Amino acid sequence: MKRGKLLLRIGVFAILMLLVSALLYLWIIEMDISIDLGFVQHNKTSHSTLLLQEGREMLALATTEYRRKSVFPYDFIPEDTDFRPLFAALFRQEKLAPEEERLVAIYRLCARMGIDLSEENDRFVLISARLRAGFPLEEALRLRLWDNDPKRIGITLSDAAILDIEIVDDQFDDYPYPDIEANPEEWKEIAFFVQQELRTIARKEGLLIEAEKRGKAALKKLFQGLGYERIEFRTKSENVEALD
Amino acid sequence: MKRLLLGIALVIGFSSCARSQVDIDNLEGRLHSILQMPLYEMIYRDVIYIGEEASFLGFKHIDTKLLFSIQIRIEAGLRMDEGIKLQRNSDGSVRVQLPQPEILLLDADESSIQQYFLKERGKEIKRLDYYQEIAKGKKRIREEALQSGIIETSQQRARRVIEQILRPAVQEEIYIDFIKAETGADL
Repeated sequence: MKRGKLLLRIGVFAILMLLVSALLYLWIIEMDISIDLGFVQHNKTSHSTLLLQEGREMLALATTEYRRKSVFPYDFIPEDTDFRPLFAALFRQEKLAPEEERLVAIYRLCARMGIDLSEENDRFVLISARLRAGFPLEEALRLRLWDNDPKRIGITLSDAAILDIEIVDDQFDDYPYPDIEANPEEWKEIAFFVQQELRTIARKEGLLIEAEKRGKAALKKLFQGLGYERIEFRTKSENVEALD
Repeated sequence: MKRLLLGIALVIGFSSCARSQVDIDNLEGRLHSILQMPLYEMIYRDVIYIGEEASFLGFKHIDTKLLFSIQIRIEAGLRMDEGIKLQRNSDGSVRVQLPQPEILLLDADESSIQQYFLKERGKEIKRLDYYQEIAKGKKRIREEALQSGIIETSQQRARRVIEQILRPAVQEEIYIDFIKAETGADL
């Protein structure tokens, strides 16, 4: 009887020790600690090689920045969207409206990422982005002067454009939400989709109008400093806009 | 024995409680006034390898390997949010005071990603795993670009560009100086 109890105690102790070492091992993996004890191994390696590909001159005048945080995919899908009629229409080979095509594209993108939009889902990624808009000056920035009117100047500019879109690179320290399981190829697809969407949203919210307005105001101030009083802007469409 | 069980329960309890509270704020877009003149950019290619292996009692349960490349762009130019100081002298010459060029952008270009191979056995690679490596690369690129003279190149280009822009409107001499910006921390 006593021997039986002893064996039971040893057995329970052995199981507990195994459990503790398993927990300790899981903790080692969670904390990214490299360890090699023969029966327990954990190694994490990373290498990186940098190559300078090119250096190039550029010229632009960035006048407006648009910052936005978006929750992918939910910010890009209207509430109460039902995907079933869309796929039924696709099955019947009916032509979809551009907005419907956009929704089908996001559904398919999410499906590739393992996010099933037809059911409850808790996978998301918060994406911070910055868009810079202004005038690309490489193509056009020409000045015109009038001999009979020395206080007048004409400035030809290209149309205001979105110069670049930066997806802010998150780090462990500044991203408090659950991370998304997306390999680089998948992340490239998400980033491309979000950049396209943000281009449209920013345009709708008046980014280019604002960029043009602020750019012209800055140039006006600059040439006023040189003593010009009548400053006219000419864009690609050749419409003269007198600001004064 | 009871103490040991209590200890294990506490460890499990703590690990399940370590969950951060989600507070998503300020998601709407915002327009900000800036005045920047990007002048010179350098494009680097970062080839990144990440691997993880784990085995317990001879059983390999994690084996992940990832090799990919990404382009990282560093851009320098003028941050002119305070405006440019322009002064026309009595002899008709113009003095332009520009801020010192600085790094305006350091960004990993997601559209340039090329994934060479991916092995995910026992664990999926998450986005922040490789962004940690990208961040290290960005830090090195910043140092390398500064050492290779990205600021000096931008300064020379700023002189040329400003003179080109103003030349049709100014027949006399154009003097260009660079002043240290009082505000606007470098990136």
